[in-house]
Amino acid sequence: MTFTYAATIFLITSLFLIFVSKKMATRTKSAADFYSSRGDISSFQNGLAMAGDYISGAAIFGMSSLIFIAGCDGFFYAMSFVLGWTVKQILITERARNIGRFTVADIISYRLNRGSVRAFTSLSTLAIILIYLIVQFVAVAQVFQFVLAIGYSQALLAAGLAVVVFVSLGGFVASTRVQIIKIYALFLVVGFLCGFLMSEYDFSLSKIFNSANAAGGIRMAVPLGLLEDPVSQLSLAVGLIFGTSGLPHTTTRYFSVMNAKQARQSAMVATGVIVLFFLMISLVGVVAVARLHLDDIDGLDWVSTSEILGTNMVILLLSRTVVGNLFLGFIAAITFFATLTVIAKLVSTGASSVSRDIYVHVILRRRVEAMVEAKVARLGALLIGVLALCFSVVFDQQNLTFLVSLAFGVAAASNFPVLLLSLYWRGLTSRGALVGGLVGLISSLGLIIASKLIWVDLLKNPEALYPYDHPALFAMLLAFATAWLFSITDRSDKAKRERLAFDEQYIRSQIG
Amino acid sequence: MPELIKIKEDPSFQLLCKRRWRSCIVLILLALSPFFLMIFLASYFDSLAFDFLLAQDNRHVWYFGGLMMFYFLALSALHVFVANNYHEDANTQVELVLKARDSHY
Repeated sequence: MTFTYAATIFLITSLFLIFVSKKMATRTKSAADFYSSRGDISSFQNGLAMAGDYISGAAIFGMSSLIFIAGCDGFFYAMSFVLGWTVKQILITERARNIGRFTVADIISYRLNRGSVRAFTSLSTLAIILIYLIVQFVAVAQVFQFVLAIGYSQALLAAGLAVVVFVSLGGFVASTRVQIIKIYALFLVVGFLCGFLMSEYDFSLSKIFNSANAAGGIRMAVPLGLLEDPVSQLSLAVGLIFGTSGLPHTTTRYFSVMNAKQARQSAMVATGVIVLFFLMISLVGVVAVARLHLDDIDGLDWVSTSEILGTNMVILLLSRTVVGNLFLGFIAAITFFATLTVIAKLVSTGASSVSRDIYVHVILRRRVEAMVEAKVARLGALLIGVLALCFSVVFDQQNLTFLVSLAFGVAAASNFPVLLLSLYWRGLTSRGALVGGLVGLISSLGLIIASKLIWVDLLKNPEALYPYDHPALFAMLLAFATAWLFSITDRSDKAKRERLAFDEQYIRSQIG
Repeated sequence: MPELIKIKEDPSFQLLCKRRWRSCIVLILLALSPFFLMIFLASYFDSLAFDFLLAQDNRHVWYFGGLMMFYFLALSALHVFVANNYHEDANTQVELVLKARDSHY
């Protein structure tokens, strides 16, 4: 077997990293431990953990592959991801930190009806997390498929098993420290790969781009997608930029530090890490254009050409082709571990939503013991994980960055309008938040189903009902419009009380 | 919480809010405008918007994107700098007012 050497290194390194996670894990003592840290980590560490949550399988595998496939248009995604993080820092970080506690629903329901708004927020959180999780499961399965030379369905089962092992060993609880280790490990291997690749071109960016332009043609020089279909690209940009602010699993990191000052410093550290990482991974994509050829891909007899070209494993293929099998084992293990930590974070955020928002605040409507809440959370985690694993079966041919951009689109259309209006607009009422948020959620999911991805590729219809790939532009505007309309027409006493309560929320959001 | 609401009339608090609003709007405009301007130019002038870059060298599209990422990082750092240096002054004033009120009540 060609890859036995790489597979052995991969398995040993993966087991070592999972063992380190187990050592990091501490016992869950309270709800605060379970949902986030206890405010005892520095802003630098928290920034690294934030970046760790954000840099998922989509960024590691999908981004370099997207640049390999689409050239400049792939780089457009990278810019949007970074801008999204900056916008979130400026608009949301401080106010969310000052009034929130554990989940996004805590922020939105500060002055609004706790039952209905929490129910909506948990619904949208679960929808976003489910799409995000599907992407991560596909990524882990494709790493297994690539390195261990097994079929996709077997790889998916192995991915599920790996997540169960990781979560049961405690990677779920110690997620902050594990995310920090992940960032260091990821920078080590991707940094080494970039250094190695640059050394092949005498550390000259000009030589790299000249080679890539010669091999890649016009797509490397001109953003063709942007020029041919600006509406789609605008919708993509809106989704990525504003969707970042609506992502539930990265927002919860603001509550891990002591004050707003530390929260914004954490966000800045995260921006720095994200910028560096996306630049490195983009460089990998550009070199892949210059160095990878069909011969390299055809050499892998168990992976068809379309699976590699159409999807995600360009970074691993480049590592194998340029550096060698030993490095392939290491980079596969570390990127696999990095994706596993994002899965753990996503599952824990989804579980928090199920236990705290749905079980405690919507179903029981009374306080319960922390350990009971934690048990419900574990059950929720299992359900979310199994559901995501089932959906992952059909998306193996899709690019991961493209898939994750759909999750961002849903976040931009559902969580973001409600979160922004609740923080900045006195006039928002529970009715407006609920209707606006639900319209955004349903329309964004509906447009995704009507787009080419589901309607044509999956359901085998001849033509898509929605001509664009990304839903955010239209669904987000619709959500804002309905939230505004249903709020200003709400004349109830409850609505008046909620508007009056804005002053207290506003002061709290300013001074903490 | 009537004591808390009273802070709204406090000049220090109003100064804090005013500064935050100003910096937030300026930073958001600085962050979003070049990016959306790029999409606008591309949609209205087709490839013309990129001609000045392409005329020099094909690599410049990538360099431009890379520089834009560092620009976003600079804005992020500027946000922290502004908030730490200007907002915190007013924040300290607000905290003093709060302490005085707490001791009074």
